[in-house]
Amino acid sequence: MSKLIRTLSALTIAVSATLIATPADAATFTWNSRPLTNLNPAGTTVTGSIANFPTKTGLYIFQCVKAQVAGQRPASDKCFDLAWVTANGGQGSTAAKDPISFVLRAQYSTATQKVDCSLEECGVFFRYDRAAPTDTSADLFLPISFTQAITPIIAKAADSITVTLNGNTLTRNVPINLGYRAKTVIVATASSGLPVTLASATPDCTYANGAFTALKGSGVCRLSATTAGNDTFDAASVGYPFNLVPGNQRLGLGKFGVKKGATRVLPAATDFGSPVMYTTKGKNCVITGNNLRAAAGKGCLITATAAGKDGMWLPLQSSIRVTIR
Amino acid sequence: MAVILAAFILLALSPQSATAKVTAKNENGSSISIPKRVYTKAANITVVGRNFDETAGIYLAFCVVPKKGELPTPCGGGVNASGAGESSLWISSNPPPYGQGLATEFLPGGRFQEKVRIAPQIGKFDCRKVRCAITVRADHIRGSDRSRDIFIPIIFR
Repeated sequence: MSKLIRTLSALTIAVSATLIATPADAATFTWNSRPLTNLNPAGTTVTGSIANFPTKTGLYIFQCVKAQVAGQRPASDKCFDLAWVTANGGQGSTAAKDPISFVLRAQYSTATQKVDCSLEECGVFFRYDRAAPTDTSADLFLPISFTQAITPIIAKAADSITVTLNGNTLTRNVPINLGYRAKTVIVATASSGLPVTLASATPDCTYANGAFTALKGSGVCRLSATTAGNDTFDAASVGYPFNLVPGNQRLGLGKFGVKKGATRVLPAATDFGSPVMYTTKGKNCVITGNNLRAAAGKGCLITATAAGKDGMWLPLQSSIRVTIR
Repeated sequence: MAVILAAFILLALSPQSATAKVTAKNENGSSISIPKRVYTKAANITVVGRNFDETAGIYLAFCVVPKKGELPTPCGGGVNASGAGESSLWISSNPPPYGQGLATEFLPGGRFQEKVRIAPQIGKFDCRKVRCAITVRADHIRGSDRSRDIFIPIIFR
């Protein structure tokens, strides 16, 4: 009969948006407050009162994760202290006749645990205080729930970065050779469509204006590519290693023609600044320093040589055909 | 200290007229050259640099010659982390992000050719009374690295 009365009473109060919870079995007190559902995950202040407060001793109130086994108490390391209520108050407790306030949050930390009530079933748990620690007759677990709208848990998609060097796709963490001062064009895209930030992660190379340039001809470099992520995609970061190899210096001189008797000034240095020495066989062309004079015949073949630099670039040897007009 | 000594010794051992090209090196083999070292008034002079380590930035500036082993300062234009000025240039092929677009890159092979403004006065210092020089020093990222210092004293008459 008393159970029926309690049930009817609870239904009536639920309709009026006020919670009156009663223990399923032994507890004789009732908790009266607003409903403990659809709470703000960031924190909802709940103010309530306890009717028929037990005479045996005070009550502890916790926010806990529901016990995994029915009938057992929630694990204490997953409980967060909310209040201590005693009949008359004192010693830091709240008097049973006074309003009892606490804040319920979707996420909280205990001494050893981080709890997320959007992932686990949580509730407000009442039990006798330290004066009767093993007495479970006042145990009461009232389930709580939080709204999902404010802190939705969104699984972000992984972003994928693709980087090409001179049109060839680079493979992350797989080194390729890069010559000193070799011309490169780097293009990077992300599956998310987000901008990709490129940078040299090592001092022996530099990234600027879409080019990744080796400043040495030995050692290793690394190009880093990152995206910042957004509401939909996680941030991404990849690295592309390079083995630096000596570069190829260039003369900037191809076959050319010169009038008989005329002199042509040839490049004195390669594009890396190495002095160039010219030689020729025969007497059709006469070379003095970096000056070539067309002396006779229909043409000549000249050879340009420049020294290399250890760890930087290779020696140059180039043959150039000269037409004498 | 050895670097400064080496630079000055090199100059001392290379007798040059007021109009001769002047070159100085540091212990790393980097060198700078200017057309001459004697001037009568302010001028823009072309400084040619060779064989620099492209992975390390430098300042090229006109400075009061410091005590041996000390950081060259003051310089015309000061520490020019904001880029190129008339008396102070930042040359770096791999500057930090804030320096990209401000620093001038080395040419391949660790070379540069830049104009530097020289004047008889650097702040309160009169270069007719104190020694002033075309100066190379490591940039602020390696500010205490004196091994990269090079000086070519300029004489104002």
